[in-house]
Amino acid sequence: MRPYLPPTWGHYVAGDFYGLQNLATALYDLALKGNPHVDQLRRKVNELLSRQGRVQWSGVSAGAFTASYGQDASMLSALDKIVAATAAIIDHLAEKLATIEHAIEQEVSEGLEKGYFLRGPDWAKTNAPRPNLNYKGSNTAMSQFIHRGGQYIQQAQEAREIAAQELAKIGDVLLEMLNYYRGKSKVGKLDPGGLLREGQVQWYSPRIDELSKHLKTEKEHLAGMNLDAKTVGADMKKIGGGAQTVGDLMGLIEPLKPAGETVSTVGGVVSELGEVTEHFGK
Amino acid sequence: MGGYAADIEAIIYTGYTFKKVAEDYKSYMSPGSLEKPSTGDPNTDQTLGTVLEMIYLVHGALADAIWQHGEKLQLVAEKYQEADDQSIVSLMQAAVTAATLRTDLPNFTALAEPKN
Repeated sequence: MRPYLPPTWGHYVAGDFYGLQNLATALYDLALKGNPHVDQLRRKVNELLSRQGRVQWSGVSAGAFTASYGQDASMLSALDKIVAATAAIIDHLAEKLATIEHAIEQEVSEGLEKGYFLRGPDWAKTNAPRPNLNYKGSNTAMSQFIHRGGQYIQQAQEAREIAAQELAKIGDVLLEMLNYYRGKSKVGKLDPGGLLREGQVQWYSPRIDELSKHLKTEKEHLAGMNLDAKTVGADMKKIGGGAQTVGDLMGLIEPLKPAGETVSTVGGVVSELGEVTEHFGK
Repeated sequence: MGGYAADIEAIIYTGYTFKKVAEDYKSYMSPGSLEKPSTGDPNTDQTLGTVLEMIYLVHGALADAIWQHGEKLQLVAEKYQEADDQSIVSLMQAAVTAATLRTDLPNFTALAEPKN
């Protein structure tokens, strides 16, 4: 069940909630599209290696292929999970922002309905109310509204910062996966030359370096925030346990089954990833 | 000498399947296919943008690696074919060479070394 976004009209809270929700939809679709391929490839390899009534492929090259294929199967499955987790973070943020926006709008609507607020001079542009001076207590109501409005805006900013922290964790895992493909992973030595052709490594490397720099800068910025790991962890659990979106989707995604016996190296990346995705589990 | 066996046709066909899957998988995402809506905070927008670009790159690298596996299977099949008329020893050598080819193929050296 995806979170419900209430309809909004006021634009009091910055951000494109519906665009964020659409992005989450696109990411969920991507995660689920990749899923059948894990099984398709695994089935093909199993057929090849254990053909009933026909010649079974065996020997050194068959063993090497099986082991290496195991990495791809794990990585494909892992990427599906990480994409679904990213989608859930974005979905959760969209929901929080839209809910805060809706709460502010409710207060404005109530003030207008009860008569202590009037539409302000810039209403068409800002949707800002003004106190109805003919209504007793309207100034007080306005002060209270401004005070609460400030708190709402602060809550929205905190929601964004929590999401940024969560995304940065995802970024760490993705960076490790990228480094794995160019043979610079911290977690293993199975593919010192990398899985990609030299030309491809040359194409990917500067882009990976650039993103790595961005992530570092963003993490430095996040380190200056007052958010502790506990707050972020609690929020991640809420995403999985509350909305259950990730938990449900994770159930649909192929588990990390090793196709070969030697998948211990990629296991390092995958277990690091597991640590992140497990936060989202039910 | 360790045993070996291969259904060359099946290996070629599996290689073809890998390449096809890689192409399909890669087509699910093109540059800029994931829009970056505003979160309302420029710093969060940047982190979101970085993560989306990383997803795009990992997705591409994974598709490329799967494609390489398809190609590798077809190369292995070729090596088997070339070795059909040769002795058992050269057939094994052909298989090991195919499995450990550098640059074009994943490096299996650590795994492919025959155990004594």
